[in-house]
Amino acid sequence: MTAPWQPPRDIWEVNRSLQLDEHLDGDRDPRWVDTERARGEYSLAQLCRALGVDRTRRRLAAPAHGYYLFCGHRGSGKSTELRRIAHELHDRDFYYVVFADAAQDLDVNNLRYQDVLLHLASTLMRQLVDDGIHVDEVHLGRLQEWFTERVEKTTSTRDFAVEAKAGVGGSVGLPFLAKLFAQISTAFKTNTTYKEELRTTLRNHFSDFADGFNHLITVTEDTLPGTGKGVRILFVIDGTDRLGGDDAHAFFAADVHQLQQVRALFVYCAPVHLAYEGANVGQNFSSIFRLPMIKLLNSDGSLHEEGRTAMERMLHRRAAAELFDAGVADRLIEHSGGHPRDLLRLLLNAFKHAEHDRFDDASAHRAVREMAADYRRILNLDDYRLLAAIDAGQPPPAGSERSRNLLYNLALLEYNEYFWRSHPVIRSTEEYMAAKDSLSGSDE
Amino acid sequence: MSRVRASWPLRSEHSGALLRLRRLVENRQSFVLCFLTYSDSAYRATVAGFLAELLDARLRVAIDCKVRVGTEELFGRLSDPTCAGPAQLSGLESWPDGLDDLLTRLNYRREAFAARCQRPLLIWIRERDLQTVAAGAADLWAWRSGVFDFSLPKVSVRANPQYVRTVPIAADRPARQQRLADLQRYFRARRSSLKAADLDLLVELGDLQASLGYPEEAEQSYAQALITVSATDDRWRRALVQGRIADILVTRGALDEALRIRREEQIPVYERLGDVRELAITRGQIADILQANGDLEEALRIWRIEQIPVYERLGDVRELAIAWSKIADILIARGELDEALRIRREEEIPLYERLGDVRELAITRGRISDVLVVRGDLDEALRIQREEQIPLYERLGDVRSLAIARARIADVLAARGNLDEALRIRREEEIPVFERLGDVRELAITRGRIADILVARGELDEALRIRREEQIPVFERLGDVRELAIVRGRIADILEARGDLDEALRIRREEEIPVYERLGDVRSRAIARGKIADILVARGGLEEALRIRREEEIPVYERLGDVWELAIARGRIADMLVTRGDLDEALRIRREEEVPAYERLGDVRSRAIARGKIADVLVARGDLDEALRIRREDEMPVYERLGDVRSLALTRDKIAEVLEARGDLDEALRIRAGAADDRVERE
Repeated sequence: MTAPWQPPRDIWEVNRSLQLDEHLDGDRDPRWVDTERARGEYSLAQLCRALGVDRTRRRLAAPAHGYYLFCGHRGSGKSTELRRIAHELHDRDFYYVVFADAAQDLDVNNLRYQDVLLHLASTLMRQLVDDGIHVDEVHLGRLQEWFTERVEKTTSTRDFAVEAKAGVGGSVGLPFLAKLFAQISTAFKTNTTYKEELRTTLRNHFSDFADGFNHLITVTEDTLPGTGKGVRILFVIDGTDRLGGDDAHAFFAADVHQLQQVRALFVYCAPVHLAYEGANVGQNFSSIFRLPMIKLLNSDGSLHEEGRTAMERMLHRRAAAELFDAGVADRLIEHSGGHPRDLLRLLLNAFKHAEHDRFDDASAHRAVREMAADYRRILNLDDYRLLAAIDAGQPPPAGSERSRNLLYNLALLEYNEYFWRSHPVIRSTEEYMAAKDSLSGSDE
Repeated sequence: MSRVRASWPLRSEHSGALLRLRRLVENRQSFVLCFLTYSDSAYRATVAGFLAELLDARLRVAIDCKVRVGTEELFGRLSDPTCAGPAQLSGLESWPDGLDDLLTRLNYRREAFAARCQRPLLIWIRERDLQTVAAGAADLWAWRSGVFDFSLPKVSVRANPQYVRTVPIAADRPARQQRLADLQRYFRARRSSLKAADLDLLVELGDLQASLGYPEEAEQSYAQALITVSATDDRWRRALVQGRIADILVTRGALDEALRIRREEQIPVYERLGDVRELAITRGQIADILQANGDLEEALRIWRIEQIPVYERLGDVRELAIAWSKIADILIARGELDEALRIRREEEIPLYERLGDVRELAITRGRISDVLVVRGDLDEALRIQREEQIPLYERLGDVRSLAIARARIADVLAARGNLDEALRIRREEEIPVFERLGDVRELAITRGRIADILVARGELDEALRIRREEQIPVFERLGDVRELAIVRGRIADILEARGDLDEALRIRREEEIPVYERLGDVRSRAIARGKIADILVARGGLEEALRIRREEEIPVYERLGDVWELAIARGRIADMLVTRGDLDEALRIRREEEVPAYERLGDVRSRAIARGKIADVLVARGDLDEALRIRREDEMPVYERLGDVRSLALTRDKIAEVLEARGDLDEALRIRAGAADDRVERE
């Protein structure tokens, strides 16, 4: 039996162990806190239903193919939640989940579906090899042929193909191909000489590749039930929420037909504002699932106990409760707005401001002030006015770029039932108060 | 407080950011993303250089607009394993394809960035570009552990880092009073709306009030400054204001609280800011408090172990000389006069010679002569003053210091009993200089010293006239309440000597003590209470006098650690006990408390006087041989060495009395004849 998780009991240790760049590996991490109920109406059940997962009866009625978006605020726990989904659904009765982190494994600059799909093919092959799932060599011919015809015989990538084949040694069949594709995928990210040529080759001959990949998926799904490793393949892709501006538009709207050339089940991670981007995105994807903020208050202002409790648990798995003076944890939680990373950031800020080895009231006040200063740097007066108006219950202008930007930069937080509130630290600024006053003045 | 500070190169308003940054990255060897904003690239370079030292952030990567590199190479340079500690990245705006391009790349590759760069990363970014970072690299921005602002105010003052003005104060009192009135008028108008910009003015107001003798008002100003500064991020200034409060507490005798502030509030801040000079200065102030408390060992340790090496390392010759001077002062207080003299001669003098500071050289030579005076080597002391100090002031054309140096010569002559020459110097060499300079204050003080000599010569009426007509009106005009109280105390001394005990008592109670109470000067108040005790003794109120000494005086000196005044007060208690006939206790006090204190202080004259009083008690108890031995071996040689002919003559008379009591009349007659010859010769 493993010992229960002990949070740091020393304020300096709290600092040393706080990594804002770290996402938890779902429920495998002892610091993980179940936030399903804390987020309000949100439930994994919706996604499970869309994917045909019946957890009670342990049955799968998966659609033939589907493309799903999983949206949420930056730092709201999307990555952690996606990993949890991957862990839960990777089950002999459900899915053989192939997980990839585009931000980690690929160069997301100018990222295209082709890059992602080749990487997924590579990951699938490696995972099959690792799990001892045999795929007859005859089924790999199309992908093998794609490599020979399109990479080996293309002048600009010939040398790369020679190097890559030499690098994989004497393997044959699936292990050989898995290593070969892994080399191409790695080259997409780091090989400065062949990176662009390989990407161009893939894009120019994507149909050939997609054909080979579809065949591999089909044959694998035929094989899977006998292995006890799952029934269907589900691809879960994190890190694509990183795409911004034109890249995001190309990926999630303009080029989506390329994605659809591979017929399988995909869950892609996306930023929350994409859900409000317009009609295109909604039409291109089977469903959009939103991961809302953890709700500290209901839309009517009443306390949402589950949300508060979850945030408190989250806080005290990073810093032992005895390190906080009375009321300090409450202050930090209240000002996090239910945003997990902002809660950690407030904790870190409080550490920076603490003059002694405890989180005291003064340090909490200053922590809030510091975070408010960050917002001051990026907001203008019109932003404050809009935030004050939304907080006052006025409906946000539909599809306005300003409100999308505010969602994007976390000044505006989305809670379940899809109500919006400004970030609580913004409400502590003079600029917001002035905007609020002028709003109430104009009401009168 | 007036010394130049150059080693801590940051502006004080950035001290809060620096403390937070240090706290965050210290002992972290993982990816920690910090944005450091700046507005002035020269100042950025200064801060970056300082961070390299303070945080060991020596790995500094600057993007060069002429050299195109990929993000991989950039990450590689930032993860250089040969350098430990945080890395600094600057020049983002110089990225060949523009800042936006770099931000997009960094945003897309933040995982790789974090994975490669397993150390705190300090990214320098122009203040105006921070919004671009937040928008253009929102995912990277979301990983920030802090934004630390090192930008300058809109009007750049980088060439002249601002500190709270530490030498405010115009030397001349009317100018200070005028400035005080101006500041008070300003703050009356602003009362409830103080801003950060008012902080320095509040400190200046406090400084002025302190220098003009209003410590309570000064403390209020500093307290207001503390409230104001606490609302800002300026931790350096906050420590400085706390230091000012500690200064006031020191003058008031609240040494424990002053020590706490220095140790718990100031030192930790300067340590973490890496302000080694301010740290050294504060440690010096702690040493001063310890010294005042009588903890000379610890004070000496601080100066020797903590101060001298710092100033040596900084190459700060002037502070080094000052530190040596403090060590010498302590050694003098401990009676280690030879070592003190060696330090003055071999450490201080060469340092000032290296600095070419003729004035400090002259002052130090004056201090050497002071040591010689304490050691009783008056001839050499006079020679140094006349041949080594005075010529330097003459060379500088510093008539004021010259007059003060001559005053010291007069002090030595007066100590030797040569009152006429001392008087001549005061009247002919000091007074005319201060008259010419129009320095009414020094003039009044010098006239007071003339009055001191007249008192010693028994010319009490003239001394009283000087005090009343030439000193009091001047200090009244100057509004110098402290000097006024001192002069009134001296008037009371004269009245007491003339037997006008009631008026002397009235002055002490109504004019002197209330002033010290208002000033919070517990030491002067205790001394004045002691003098009231003297009057009570003269009027027969022995018991009340004893109570005052024991309950009102002694505890104050003990708290202040004032060994000297403690010894004097105990001596007075012994005098009273003798009057009361309690000879054993009187003798015990002299032997066990008074004499050892003077020995520790190296005060040979006071020791000789105290030993003489022991001899008096022994005579009264009939122990004539021991009394004679003390007179001959402990008293006479000291007065001879000091050239104090008056005390010498008195001691000879007392020896003759003992000899007569023993029946040794011939010897007594011979000694009396010798003493008479000396007196004639002197006259």
